[in-house]
Amino acid sequence: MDTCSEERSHESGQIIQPIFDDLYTKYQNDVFSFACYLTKNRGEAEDLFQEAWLRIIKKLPEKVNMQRIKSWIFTVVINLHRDELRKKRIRRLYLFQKSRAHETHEAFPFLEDQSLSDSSNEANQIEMGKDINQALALLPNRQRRVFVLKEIAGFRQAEISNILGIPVGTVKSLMYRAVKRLRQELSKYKSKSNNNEALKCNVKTSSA
Amino acid sequence: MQCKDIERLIIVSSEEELSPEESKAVEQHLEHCAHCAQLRDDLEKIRLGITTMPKPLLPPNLAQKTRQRCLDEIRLQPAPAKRVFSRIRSYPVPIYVWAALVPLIIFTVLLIAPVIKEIRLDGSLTFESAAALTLLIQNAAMLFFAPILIRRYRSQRKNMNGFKMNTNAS
Repeated sequence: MDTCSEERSHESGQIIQPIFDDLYTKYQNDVFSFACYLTKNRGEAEDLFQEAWLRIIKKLPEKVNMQRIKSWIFTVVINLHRDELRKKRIRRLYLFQKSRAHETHEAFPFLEDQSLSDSSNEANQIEMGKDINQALALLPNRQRRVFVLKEIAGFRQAEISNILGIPVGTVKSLMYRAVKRLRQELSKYKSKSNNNEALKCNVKTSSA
Repeated sequence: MQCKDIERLIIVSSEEELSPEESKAVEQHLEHCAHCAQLRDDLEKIRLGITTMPKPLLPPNLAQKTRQRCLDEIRLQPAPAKRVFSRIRSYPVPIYVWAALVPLIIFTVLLIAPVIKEIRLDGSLTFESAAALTLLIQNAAMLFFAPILIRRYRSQRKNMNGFKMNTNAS
């Protein structure tokens, strides 16, 4: 009996393994960056990444439709992250922790250490990219999910509504609010940097 | 269309998701509305920024480790036969019903077997054999209807829950 089941599992493994290899090489980077944007924390993102792939492996044999596999993979990641958030909330409730305050203002620390290029135009764009990263970290969870799925992962509205399990109308309004908030935050950064430049000019003129 | 509608269209839809009439309306509106044009420019800048934005890089050792764990998991995954069995076990009839059905079947068989033998030998219907036959029919009916009744009860309860959730939501 045991040898029989082993043979069978071996057979099913042989069917799943090439599919897994294909999916893993195709989507590992997408899944990791999505996990990073969701969790805003490197350690948590790594855990989520591993958990997500293990869950995908477990559920893959039941999943037949390969055309919508990408959105299914993202659904798995989202659901795992939701579970994790729920557990955190319960833990916080029981331990009376106040970890929300530092969580909401955390930027993406794993993006800071990447090198800047020399050309001024590219440097400007990268500066803009950094600002966007910081502004994204300030968005509420629901808005950030929708924005990342639409603009970074490149899903359509109907797909996003499937992934998140919310109506298309809600996706639209969340997207609208996300962009408004991003614009606000970015304009703050702009005005800050303008102020800094103005200050520098003032210092120069006063020293002259 | 008002500015607010146009704003929504600009933000919510990338070019290919707008219908021809909508994109025409947006174009016409943008010609004379500086506010919305600014929004469109900002959004374009944000999209450009996203393409040049530094992406989080997957550490190679994590990629390797996860791949290895998944491959181990695939090797250890239960065989399809086992999965069918687990599906039967997760059938939504509670375990105590199955537990009640088992002794019921055993008792029925134990009681009925000698009576049927007697009837076959004798050919006459005594009070005892009539009672046993009634018991048999009753048990057969119970065995047949129990899962149906349970399913009905569950679906009713589910509907009730759904109704409660809806009223809460509203």
